[in-house]
Amino acid sequence: MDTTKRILVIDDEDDIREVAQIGLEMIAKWQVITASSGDEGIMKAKAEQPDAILLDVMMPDMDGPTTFRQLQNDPMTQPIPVLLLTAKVQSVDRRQFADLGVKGIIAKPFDPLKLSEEVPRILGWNS
Amino acid sequence: MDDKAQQVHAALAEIWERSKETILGRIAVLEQATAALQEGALEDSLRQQAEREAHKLTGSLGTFGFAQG
Repeated sequence: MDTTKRILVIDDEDDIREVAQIGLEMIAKWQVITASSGDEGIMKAKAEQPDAILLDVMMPDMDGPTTFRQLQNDPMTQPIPVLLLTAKVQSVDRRQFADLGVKGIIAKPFDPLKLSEEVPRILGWNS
Repeated sequence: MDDKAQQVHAALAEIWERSKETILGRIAVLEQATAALQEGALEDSLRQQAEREAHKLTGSLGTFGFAQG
């Protein structure tokens, strides 16, 4: 069984993208595609059809929720599960994000050594 | 610590070295906003920028292992 996953990480911060990439590539041996903006992320999601998207909430120009809505409105990207990456993890924020229809939330800061466990746990890839 | 974890930590240390300048710049914005607040002269634009930078710092510093300020 091929367990290699392809993950698209969309975050405007270079360091966070790199840390997530290292965690997922070195620990899980997954393939990671990165994008530094919502626009670039949408383009890469269409072209690359990743197994999941990790999407930062607070980005300039197009924020995470707006990017997510655009992904949902396109039949090519609608089926791709999206996890939000955010430091906003108060219950009111979590409710707002859940209402959007994302598959889950990964709190920043995250542990790069455990990211490759957290993603499949939330998406049910282990079962 | 196993080999994989050691490799990840080594890679993180490299990223940290490259990111330090950006992170220190964010801290400088917070210091600037704090000083302006103490002088009663904190403008909305600086307050909003400081909020954004604080949010980014929360994510970055903790991910590099600096859980406490």
